[in-house]
Parts: sequence; structure tokens; C-alpha cells
Amino acid sequence: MDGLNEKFLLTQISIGDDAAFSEIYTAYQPLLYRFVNRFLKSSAISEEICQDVFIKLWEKRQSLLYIESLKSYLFTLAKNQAFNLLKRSSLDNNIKAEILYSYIPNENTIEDKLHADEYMQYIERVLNTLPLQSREVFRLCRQLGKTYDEAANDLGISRNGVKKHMVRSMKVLKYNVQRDFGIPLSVILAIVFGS
Amino acid sequence: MEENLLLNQLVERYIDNQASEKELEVFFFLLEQGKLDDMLMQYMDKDQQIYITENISLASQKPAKVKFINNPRVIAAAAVVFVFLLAGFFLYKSKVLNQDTTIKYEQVSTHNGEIKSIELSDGSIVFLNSNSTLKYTDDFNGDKRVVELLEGEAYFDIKHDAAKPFVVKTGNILTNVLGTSFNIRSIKYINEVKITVTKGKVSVQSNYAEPARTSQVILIPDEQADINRNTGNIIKNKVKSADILNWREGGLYFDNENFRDVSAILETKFGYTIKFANDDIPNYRFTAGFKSTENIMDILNALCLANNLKYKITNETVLLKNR
Repeated sequence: MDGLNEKFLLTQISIGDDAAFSEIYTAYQPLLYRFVNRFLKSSAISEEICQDVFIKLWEKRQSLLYIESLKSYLFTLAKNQAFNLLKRSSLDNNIKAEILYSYIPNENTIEDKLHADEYMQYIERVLNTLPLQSREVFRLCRQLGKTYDEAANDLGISRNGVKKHMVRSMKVLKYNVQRDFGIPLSVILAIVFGS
Repeated sequence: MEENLLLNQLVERYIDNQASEKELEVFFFLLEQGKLDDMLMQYMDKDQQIYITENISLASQKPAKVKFINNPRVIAAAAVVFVFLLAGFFLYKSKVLNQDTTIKYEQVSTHNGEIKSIELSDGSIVFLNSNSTLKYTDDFNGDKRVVELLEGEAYFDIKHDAAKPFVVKTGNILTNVLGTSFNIRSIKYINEVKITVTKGKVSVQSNYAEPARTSQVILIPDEQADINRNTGNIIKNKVKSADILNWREGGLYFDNENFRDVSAILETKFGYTIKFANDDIPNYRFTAGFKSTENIMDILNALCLANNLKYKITNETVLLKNR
């Protein structure tokens, strides 16, 4: 997207044009998703973060004209949101469970051998300092991810549905976006179902 | 090996999906301790810079796999960016340590027929009417949040912060608030500065050296202070503040204002020059509100009808005369 067109779209968004908003969304959402997913691992969480970014963008639409670079703006928003969520995951077992479940290690044994000694010793050393209880919690988180599958089976919905529900409930998602931010429902639908 | 290098390795392996079960456990533990914050931020910054500078597009790629890090050009670019970031960080740090307090000011102006809204760093919002200029800073580090309305009219919706009063300077006039909404009109060729409150409480103070005097009034919603620019004299009026704010939707409102001021406002809004056929007309008074769709002709018609006048437009000049 070239700068001129972008400036035009921003002007349109600033006066509440949701078509222009959709265009920005389509252009940037996949990039932002890929950017945050590298750190967050879970597609459900990454999508939520992207949503938050665009909701923020819509909320702040009236000051968009002063943005120098939309791209930097969006990526900065996404970065901060992703960072905060990752920080939160260390305390919130639901988020941690979701990240752990989505974490699929590369088979890269050669690499692992290079890492031997000092690094692995360090890891072991830290592990030994952890209280038993906290290790137990981690194991539970590990299992929690698997229980989503079971829950999905029981409820007869897709696993993604369970994840989405879970991510939503823990983030106290803005169900009242329309009321709170004056964002048109069509835009929300585009965000939710657009990707 | 230094701990930092070990932490770096852990973060890198987490990001690259190479962390084992044990490493993940340690990762989340250290994350909770805040020990990985800087490391993580660095990786995020690095990636962000790559996305921003490299013009990556996803048109023909699948979003799942991150491939670009294998590209030596990107790695080189990232390395360069990283060095700059590092340099920037140290520069920033040294600045902070040196207690560098130079404040950077921003200035926003609007031209004819243009209305802008500005969000300040504290979350306060300022709507700037046409032909107006606001000077502000993006970090309110002091014990007050100070902005300056250099010219024109602005509506302020201020975020409450009891510890940091918000102050608007308009020449020798200071408007002090904690958190509230109010409108200031200070047009250079109109002798009266008008401050109108829509929400909360505002204190208005005029400080004049010659003759030395300070006047102050407290305004509550629907009260307006009319301050004489020359003398600093303040008169308090009751108004309907909603009407005064309809300029934000492109409208106009005149509350018992004399024709001299009315025409000054019309001149800025429509770009016409307004002249009077005799010296009485500028002192006539006028009260009316107009919606955004109306053009100068509609307003002139209303003006003339109410005061038994007529007008003639030649080129960009309007001449008002008695009927």
C-alpha cells in the first residue's frame, strides 16, 4: 500500500468510513498476525491480539491523521499487546496452557547437541530452584491444553471454538464494542470472520 | 558463559520453536520473574523493524511459516537495524542520565474550513476549529500539563488527573482545570476571548502587567467568561454551551455577538472579506445557530433579515448596508 493511498484511507477512517477500515484491515492483518504469532504460538491468541489492534485503531480513528506511518503504528500496537499478553501468560494458567499446547517443537537434534553443556546445565539449575508446587502447575497447564480437545468432543464443537471461547473469556473481550466504541457491527463481523 | 547469553539463547530457542519441555518450563518461570523482558522486547523490536523496512507482503505466501530469516539480506538488514537500535538505546539512556529536560513542542494548525482533533499523550482530546493553532508537547513531565492556544478556537476534553492540572495559555489568560471539557475562542482580531465550560469546573485567570492586575473567575457548566484582551477584564455570562460547540460539526453559533465579531468569524470560515456601508452596522448584535450544510449566503440572508439589512457580493467581498 503506497503512502498516498494510505493517507487517503486514514482520512476516510478518521471520519468513520468502515470500507476504508476494511481495506486497511485486509492489507495489514496477515502481516500483523504473522508478526505476533512468532511469539505467541497460538493462532487463537494471535488472532485476538490482531483484533485488539484493529479495535484500538478504530477507537483512535479521530487522531489517525497525525500518524506518520500507519505501518509503524500498527506494528507498535501489536508488539505491545503481544508482549503484554506473553507477560500475562506467565501468571495466567489458561493462556499458558494454550501457548504450550500450540507449541510444536522443531525436530532439530543436531542443533540440540550444539547446545549441550553449559546451557543445558543452566536450564537444569533453574529447574532445581523451582518450588515443587510451581512445577506441578506447569504440568497441569501442559495437560490443560489436551483437555480442550476433550471439552470440544463433549460439546460437539470444534477445538478452535473452545479455544476462542477460552481466550475470549480470559480477556474479557469487548462484546459491547458497538456500544463502547461506536464501531459498526459490519466492521466487527469483518474482523471476526474476515480472516 | 554470562547469564545474559544463556537467557538470550533460551528466548531465541523459544521463538524458533526449538525449546524442549524443560526449557519451556524455565522460559515461563523466568518470564514471570521479569528476567526475559528486555530480551523479548529486543527480538520483537528486531522483527518489527524488519517488517517495517523490508516491505514484506503476504500476497503469495502462507501466513503460517516464517521463512524470511533465512534470507542473508534480511539478516544483514536486521543486524544493521539492531546496531541502530542499540545505539539509539544508549543514546536514549545517556540522555535520561544527563537529565536532559529539553521539551519538544508540536504545533498543529488548521486552515479555512478545516477542523482537526488531536489526542494528547495523556489521553485528552482537543478539537481545533478552522484557522487555529495549538502548541503542545507530547510529554507532560512537569507538575502541570500546559498547552498553548496561539490562535483561534478549540474545544478541550481533558482527562482527569488531580496531580497534574491542565493549563491552557491564551496570551495573558490562563485556564486551569483538573479534568473537564471546555471551549476557548481567542481570535486575534476579536477583542474578547471567550471560555465556555461544558463539564466540570474551570478557573480562568488573566494576568496583565500594564496596568498590573490579576482577575480570576470560576466557571461551571454553561457559564462563559468573556475576557477583554486589552484590559484583562472578565465578565461572566450564562450560555447554552451545546450551541457554542456546534462548530465541531462544521456549524456556527452566534450568541448576541456584534457584527464586527460575526463578520470576522465568517471571514475566516468562508474566505470572504466583509465590509460595512456605515459605522453603525458593526455594533448591531446577532444571535443564531447554523448547521454545517449552510453556505455564507444562507447566513447573510439570516443576518440581513434580522437586522433589516441587505448585502451585495462582488468577487470575494461582501458589502452590508441598510435596506
